[in-house]
Amino acid sequence: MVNDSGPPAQHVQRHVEDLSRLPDILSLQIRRRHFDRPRRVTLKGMDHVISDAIEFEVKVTEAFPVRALGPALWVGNEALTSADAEGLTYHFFAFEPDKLKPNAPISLGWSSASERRRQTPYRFTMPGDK
Amino acid sequence: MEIPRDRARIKDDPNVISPPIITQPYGCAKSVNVTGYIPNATLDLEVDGVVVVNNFPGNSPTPWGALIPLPVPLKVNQVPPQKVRARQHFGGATSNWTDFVAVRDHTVDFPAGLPRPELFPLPLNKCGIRTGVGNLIVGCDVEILVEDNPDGSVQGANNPQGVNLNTPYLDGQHVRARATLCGDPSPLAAEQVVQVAPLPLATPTFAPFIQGGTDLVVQGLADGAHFEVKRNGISLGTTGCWGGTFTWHGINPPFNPPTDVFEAAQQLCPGDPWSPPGKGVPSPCSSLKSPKFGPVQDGDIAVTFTDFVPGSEIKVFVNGSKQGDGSGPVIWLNHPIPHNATIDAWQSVGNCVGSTVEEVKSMCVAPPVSGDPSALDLFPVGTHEYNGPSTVSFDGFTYHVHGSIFYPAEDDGADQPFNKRLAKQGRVPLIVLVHGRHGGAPDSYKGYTYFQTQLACMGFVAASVDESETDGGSDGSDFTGNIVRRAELAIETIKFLQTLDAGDPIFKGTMDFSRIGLMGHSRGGDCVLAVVERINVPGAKILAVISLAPVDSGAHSGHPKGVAFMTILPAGDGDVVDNDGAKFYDQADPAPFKTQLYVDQANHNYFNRSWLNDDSLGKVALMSRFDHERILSTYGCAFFRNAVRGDATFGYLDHSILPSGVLNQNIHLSCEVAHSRIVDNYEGHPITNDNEGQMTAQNGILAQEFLFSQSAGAFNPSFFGNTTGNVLQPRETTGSFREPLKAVTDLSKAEVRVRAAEVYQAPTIPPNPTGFRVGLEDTQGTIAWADVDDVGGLSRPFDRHALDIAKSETDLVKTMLSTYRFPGHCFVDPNRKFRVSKVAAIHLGLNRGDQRPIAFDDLEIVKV
Repeated sequence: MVNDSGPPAQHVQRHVEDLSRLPDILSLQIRRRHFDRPRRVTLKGMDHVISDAIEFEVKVTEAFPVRALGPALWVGNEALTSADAEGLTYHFFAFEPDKLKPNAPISLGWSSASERRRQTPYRFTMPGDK
Repeated sequence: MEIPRDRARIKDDPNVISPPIITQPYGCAKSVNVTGYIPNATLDLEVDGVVVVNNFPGNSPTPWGALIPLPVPLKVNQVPPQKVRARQHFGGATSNWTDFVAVRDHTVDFPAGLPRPELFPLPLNKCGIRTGVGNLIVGCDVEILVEDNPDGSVQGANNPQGVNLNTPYLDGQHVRARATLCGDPSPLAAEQVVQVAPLPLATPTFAPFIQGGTDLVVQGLADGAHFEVKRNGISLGTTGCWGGTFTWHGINPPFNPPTDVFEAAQQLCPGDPWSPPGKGVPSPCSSLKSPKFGPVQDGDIAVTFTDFVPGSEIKVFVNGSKQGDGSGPVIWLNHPIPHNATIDAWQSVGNCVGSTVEEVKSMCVAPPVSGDPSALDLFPVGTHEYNGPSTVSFDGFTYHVHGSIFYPAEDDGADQPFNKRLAKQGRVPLIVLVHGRHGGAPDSYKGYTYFQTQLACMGFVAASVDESETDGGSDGSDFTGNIVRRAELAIETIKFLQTLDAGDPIFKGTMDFSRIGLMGHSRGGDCVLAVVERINVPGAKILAVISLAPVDSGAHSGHPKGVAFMTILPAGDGDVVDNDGAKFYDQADPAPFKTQLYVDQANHNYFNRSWLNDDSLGKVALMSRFDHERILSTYGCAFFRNAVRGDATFGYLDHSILPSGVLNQNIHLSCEVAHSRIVDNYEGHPITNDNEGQMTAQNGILAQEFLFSQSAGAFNPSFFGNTTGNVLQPRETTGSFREPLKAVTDLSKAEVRVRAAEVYQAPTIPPNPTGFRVGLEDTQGTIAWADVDDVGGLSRPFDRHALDIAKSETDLVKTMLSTYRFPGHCFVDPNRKFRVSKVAAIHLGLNRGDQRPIAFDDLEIVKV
């Protein structure tokens, strides 16, 4: 009689790469943004069509790594996770501007409060406010 | 625990021997397989009350038992079906008969045909003279086909079965195998091409063997090789084998150290040099260890051994009384194991009797390791790379409808015809897989081919959607919107599959869109829940969803409903660090059930073969990639088979059974079924009341409700779910939280189930485990307790400090609850006053005296 052979070879070598690293910020501009073609925004599974937002244009030193979590701009404890990316320029949008607190510190991070954040020298001011 | 034999209070009774075990027989079988008997016992076989085989020489029971030829094949379609039973004789004793085993019709169990034979081990070698064939029904006929011509066969085969070849293999030949039962041929085994084995062949080795034994296990043999064994320089003979290991039975006289020296050398082609000889010497009898038990739980009628000497006799004692005598790995007992029993096992090999025994206590709950739900291998697998006729656009982004389909086919390979015999049975369920977003992996959709293959082998169509066009740029950076678009692309894929089903040459009329299962990973794990809420495709109904390491983007309500739900949460996830799927589990309706696997030593990526990097950064103890895949394969197949097709695989999903070949010790499972009686889920009422409106009471503990989530109302920051629960904090050495039942309840055929966890209190994980107990109080006020250690023990928090420090310096060690099952029979009152049929209240008790809080949720009663 013959037995089965052993189990398959095990994966032994690990390729390690930290995909949570963050770029440095080069500049930040905050402005009001009107979408000529209204934008679909989904909140808790419900779609909303929105024409106006606060836009944060952020220039960074390198692109955010591509991973499960998305890039986020944190305004205080409010994460802006909706963004357009053009090369090293990211446009983050706040569709519920009332949630943003004046003078809140702005940091770069990920769409999880548990992930690391990189503080920037910027603070939030509502466009048009002085 | 191994103890000296004389310390175990056991008494051998040679008249007590176990009934053997019969492998399920089928109509038309020409032989029957019997296992578990004592080495060299003789066996009787009875069919419909007539002993058809008498005193069959069993010889060695390992590794595959005795194959007993029948004088007449078993009948098929007899009403009532034929009944078979067996018994063994040894040393003047006769065992009880086995229970009757009804002969089954293979066309009932396998309506689309016999299971597909499997050639093994691989590769097949030039000059090979024997080949192994597995995945057979015992008693079938099996033949080897070389270039489509028969080249060896066995009538009335075992499983597995070695087949000697008429002509040795030639280089480059194409080899297949076919089984036949009742004239019904199986699909052909996957084609193998004969290869030339590199020379020299490896030196064979010997498994450790013991003084007094007669079975010699030779290892490291090339597939199809022949080999010679010599004893003290004298040849015992030459034999062919299918490779791997070979057990040479009945060596006489028995092994005798220190002078005995065995050698083995192997050769494939005549004229090739023989391999260097491997040498082995028997160990002295004093080195014979005790056999090692698998899980042993109350009520078991058989015990399983995970480690034993091949060819050994094992005697089993329950509370000192002999209850079994046979051979591993499974020995039948004469009586079920009672509560809290002491079990001893004593092994002997030939005339060498072990000086130690293995002693364990039976546990109230220790699920058996039994079977592999991913190993149902019925059909060849066809593959089809699909491309939709046009692109689709959402939010201004445009995608191709592209991916791969694995399906049950007439034969293996690209674009093979769909399996005709299966198609005649009706349309088959559809499983759609959706990958996540991963940098540098354009072929993410190809990462689950192992899972797709397994699903197709067992009769599902498994499509993997290529969502890579959603990954980059503005699309991928728009977190929630991206996942919504992923969902829409998956829905478009289902629509496209409907067009294939409507008229494609391969798939016309094959897919059952009223039975769809979804599996999504990472962003895909979030996306599939959005699919459930967004799909509006006529004829399409989703029954089951696996959410593997999902993110939580807000693309859906966060409240899975209307589907069976499973989430798999890698405890060492270095990408979705919050294990967001825990929130989905907490909020999911059990429809008809939900289950959560929190998996220690698992990372985010190793479930997908295209995702190469270790996201846990090498900072946590990690299972191999193979072991990650085994978890998705076994639990995923069990889930879809049960939830989408109604197969009897639910036991794997509430851990009443564990799948084999899986690191189950790393899996901490939660499960909830519909229609369970919820005693208290700590939602919507103060801690002073339970769900049944009864007044709770606290004694020696402080019970408080907290949010089990990342929010201000949490007990501490280690909770990552989305529910409210009860944290018990000790105030005295012992204490309890009493939850009265609205009506007196009989729990003799029911389980108390409760989710619980050791609360992680930063910054350190205490070295020792803690625990709790559950008490049942009857109408007379008598309380019987069952401890969590008697149902498997309270899970420990998974230590991921090193990863968290490396990534973000945030402590993400989690308090993650698991479900613990306490069957009614676990509750035993030493004074025998407690009546399980008249339970008036349930107690959650703390008695460790270690001041550690325990989190509880979902206290339920489930009928079993």
